[in-house]
Amino acid sequence: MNKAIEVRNLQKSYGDLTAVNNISFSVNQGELFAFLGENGAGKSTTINMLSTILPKTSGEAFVMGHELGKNDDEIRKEIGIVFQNSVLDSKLTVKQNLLTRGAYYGYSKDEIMNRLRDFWEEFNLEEIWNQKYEKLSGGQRRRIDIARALIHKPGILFLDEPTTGLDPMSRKMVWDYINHLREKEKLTIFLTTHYMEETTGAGNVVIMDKGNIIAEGTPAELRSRYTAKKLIWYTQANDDNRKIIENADVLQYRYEADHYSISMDEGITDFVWKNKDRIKDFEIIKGTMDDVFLRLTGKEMVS
Amino acid sequence: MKKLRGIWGLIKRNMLVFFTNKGSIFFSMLTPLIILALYILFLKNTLVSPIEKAVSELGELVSKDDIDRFVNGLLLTGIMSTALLTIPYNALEVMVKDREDKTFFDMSATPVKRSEIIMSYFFAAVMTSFLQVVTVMFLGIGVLTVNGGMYFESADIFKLMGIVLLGTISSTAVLMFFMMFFKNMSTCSAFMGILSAVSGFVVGAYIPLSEFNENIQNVCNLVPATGISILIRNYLTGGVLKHMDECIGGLDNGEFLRSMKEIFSFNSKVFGGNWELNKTVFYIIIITVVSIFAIRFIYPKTYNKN
Repeated sequence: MNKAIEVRNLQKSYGDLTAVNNISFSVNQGELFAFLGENGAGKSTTINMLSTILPKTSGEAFVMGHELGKNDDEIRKEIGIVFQNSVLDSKLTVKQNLLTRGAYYGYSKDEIMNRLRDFWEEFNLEEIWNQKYEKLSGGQRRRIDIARALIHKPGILFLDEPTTGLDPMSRKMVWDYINHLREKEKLTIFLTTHYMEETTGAGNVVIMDKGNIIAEGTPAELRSRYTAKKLIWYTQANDDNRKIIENADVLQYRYEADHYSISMDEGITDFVWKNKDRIKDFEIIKGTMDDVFLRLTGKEMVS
Repeated sequence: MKKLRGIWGLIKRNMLVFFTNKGSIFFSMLTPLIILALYILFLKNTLVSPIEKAVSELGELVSKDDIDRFVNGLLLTGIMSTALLTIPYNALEVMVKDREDKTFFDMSATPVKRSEIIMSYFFAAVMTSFLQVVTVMFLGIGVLTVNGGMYFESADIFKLMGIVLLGTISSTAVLMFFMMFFKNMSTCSAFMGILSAVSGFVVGAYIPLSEFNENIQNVCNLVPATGISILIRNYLTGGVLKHMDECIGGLDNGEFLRSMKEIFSFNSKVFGGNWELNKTVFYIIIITVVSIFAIRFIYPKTYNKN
């Protein structure tokens, strides 16, 4: 499969401080690639380097086959970015924002309007076209940010925490747009997020901590590698039940409201089978990406 | 063509951002408005009285109307000269705000080159400032023509617009040289406070520069904006002064004309030298060109440190 991004030993230092330390990874074309890490882990710095905003200190990277630092103009034509904090002008209208941004790429007004027709209806641009950006709702603003990032038909879309601060409804809406566009435009998506559930559809996940890559794989691989399965046993809390659990090879357990939550590496089905007379109401769930993150960094993601 | 569209897109965006921020327009006009208010309240009288006293010996040869026209010219010089500092400054605040908000990241990730992004701020500030200062100039001429009158040929308007263009370009270049090191708006506001307070004195709007000691005069005259104020003063008051001299008819051997030009700084005085206007223009152009080159080559380096 063709690589949309290939990074080898990429490093960014500010004096003695190393923000990104010798990282290597690759992103396949058309893939949803998730980049996870706490604030300050080096995610945004990596995006800023790959998008030619910041110069790298060392290492090499190729974006759509163009070498970073040598063919930056070509890279800029291939990438669109939805920044963590919007970079559109609050006092300008949607029209003014999108037409001026389109012009940065050398497009005429007609060319920009033609391009916008591709998502005019899906993004409901008609309704907000002459409204000031600052008057839009959070979800509408994000839509316009995405429209801006796609105005020049890039091959890669960088999404830097695109749904942070949005209500669940707007988050879902934004993701519906992203998934639709990914399908329609055959986009490669490079995502950083705080919401672990947003990574479940990713083809590949990279987790960063303090400038280093600490894990890489598909969500399923990471979950099976770094988390234990959980047995949720709906029952009452009593000594008999507790003894059964403590006699088994469990990693940890706790009682919550109406059930025991029991973490086990292996042997859950044997444990249930062995105690089938007592364990009547239960479910077995895999560890989540939150658990993966917690296990690897010792910190919970803050949303 | 594509390249030009990119640069024009940036310039247009920077101008739109400035013109949609009414607060910024108001604050850029604050110092010129203060000068107008001060003139109406007391500065006009403090200038008219000594001139009247000085020409009293010449009897009716110098009319009160001409003195009013001369002082009106000084007022408009003060307003335009300070506007030529505060308006470009406010127009350039867009650049600092973009840096603070990281909006320039968005521009940096497009095919437009860094140097073009930087020069787009410069050109946008020059254009917005020129439009505003010319508006101020016409408003000023209108208001002062009704209140006491102005004295200059209509052809002078074009020369004056030429000086305004030179003034906007030089002030924008010099101010941008300093502002390229500002990383946030609080630094900008602090500097604006200083600029507002000092600009009126530096360009001789509140009191003539000749009132200051020689060292301060030297420093002030090295500021290009002061040179611009001298050029404007020559165009706005030179005509009426010449007319007054003609009315005196040589009775004072040109002493009145000489002393008025001396008191109200019709020429730059730098380290004892009395610069002709051509030399002042040459100096302003040199400083402007050096500033533009410095911006063009230093600014991209300051960007990479973010």
